[in-house]
Amino acid sequence: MGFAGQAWERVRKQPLAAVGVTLLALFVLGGLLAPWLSHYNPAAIDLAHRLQGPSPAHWAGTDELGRDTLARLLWGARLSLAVSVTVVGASLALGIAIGGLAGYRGGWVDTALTTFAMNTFLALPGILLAIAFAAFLGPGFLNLVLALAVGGWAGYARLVRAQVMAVRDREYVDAARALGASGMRIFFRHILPNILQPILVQAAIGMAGVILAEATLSFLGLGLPAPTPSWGAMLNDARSHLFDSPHLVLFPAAAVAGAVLGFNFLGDALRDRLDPRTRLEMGL
Amino acid sequence: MALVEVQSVTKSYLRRAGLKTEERTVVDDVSLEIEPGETLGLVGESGSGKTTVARMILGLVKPTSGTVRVGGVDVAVARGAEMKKLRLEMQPVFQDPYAALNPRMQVLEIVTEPFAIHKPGMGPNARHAEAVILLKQVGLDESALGRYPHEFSGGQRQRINIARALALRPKLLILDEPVSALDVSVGAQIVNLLRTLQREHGLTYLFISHSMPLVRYLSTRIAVMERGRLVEMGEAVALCEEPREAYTRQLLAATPELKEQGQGNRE
Repeated sequence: MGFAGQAWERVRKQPLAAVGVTLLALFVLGGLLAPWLSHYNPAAIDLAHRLQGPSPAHWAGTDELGRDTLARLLWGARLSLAVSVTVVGASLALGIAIGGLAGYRGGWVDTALTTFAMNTFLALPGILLAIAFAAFLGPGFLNLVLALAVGGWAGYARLVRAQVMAVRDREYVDAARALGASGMRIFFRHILPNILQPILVQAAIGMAGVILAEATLSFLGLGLPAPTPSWGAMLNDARSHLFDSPHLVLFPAAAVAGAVLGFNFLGDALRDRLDPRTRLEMGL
Repeated sequence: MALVEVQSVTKSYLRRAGLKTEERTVVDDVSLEIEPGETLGLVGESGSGKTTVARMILGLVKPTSGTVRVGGVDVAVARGAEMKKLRLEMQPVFQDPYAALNPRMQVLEIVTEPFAIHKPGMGPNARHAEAVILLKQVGLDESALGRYPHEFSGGQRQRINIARALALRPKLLILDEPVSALDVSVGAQIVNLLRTLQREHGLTYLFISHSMPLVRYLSTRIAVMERGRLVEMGEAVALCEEPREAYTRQLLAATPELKEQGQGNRE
């Protein structure tokens, strides 16, 4: 069976994964190649051509200031991509550090970190925390990332803690301990590589959550300042033209939905691959 | 001087049952010594505390009371350089060959990890060469180095475990049921390998098992544990011929056919 045959076999077994990967490819390539895919400046105002529908000149039309919607969508993808990768990366790093410490050490360290740090943050709705922090810190890329990571890390920490506790007493960890391996070595060489898969699943689904949260914050005007193209801000701008220029709502909404669906499908597919019960069905 | 001195160690765990906290004693006032070059067999059924004793000797579990000395060093309080020296002297081989190897490491990494920890100055070529020698000692081919644990059978994995345990040239191996997860014939090969290695390297063994005939075949002395207590200890032959305790007789009677085989091998 050739490469194409193998690829087709995969698509046939996990059609949603293929859809997810396609959506994500569009999202990632669109974001990375934004300057080359559209020659319009996403911030260039052209009042003579405002509120135009899709046309050969403007494939996705223009907004109330005459800015090209396609260009703004592509640059918006770039922003979403940057925000979601940074936020998930930061949340994951914090989650692995704190959850890892709690799970590995156990005892009072675990009690302190779990009850006081993790549970406090898990008890508060993430988006509320993010709104509060974004309003408090003011606009800016770093502040946006911080606001979103504040609500996100505890979920990863909880997962990492549980996974570490499950692996901590395996015999290969004892063997490393009996060899005199340091705590760091045991954690990073023996524990972390063996719990990475469920963490990756959570991270993939977490990416979708961050994209949605970023759009929400931008929609509320708590994202990056005005000329920066963001899907949430585009939706907010389009509110007053909901009926006369519905494409202004349609395209950014579809972009958000597509990216979120893509990550969710990918996360589901990864989970199916990991679950031994579904592995059998897939003939692995 | 005895290599290992276990002096009246007790291990109990606190278990929370509802609002009450119960104390459960797993090992109760156990004392034993292991002389250099001998094999001490430790028998008893599951839950008798054998593994906990082994883990206390290895320093993986701290005794609630009592002391464990290996080469004169108190295992529970050893730190830094002292602890490192202890690690060089004793190594474990665990029961489940499937669980004792990190599934995400290649055999080369697994077998040379002791060097990475204790001899950081050793270059990759030297490590590779050492790994080849170690694998040869346990009857495995060099081609195993680039493969992952799941590609091997249970017996082969136990050989990899033994190779890793031998890497630092320890004096003492703590063998915690090393063959009970294996088929009888494969287990016999591992037992014979252990005997050969003991002869070649002058190793001291603590051999833990629930199988009396196996322990009798390998051990110079035998200690019998029942529900956390050491009930009987003595020379292997004498203990098996004339067991004093009813529990030892029960253990001996539990596997009559294998006992015959054990005697056969002895002759």
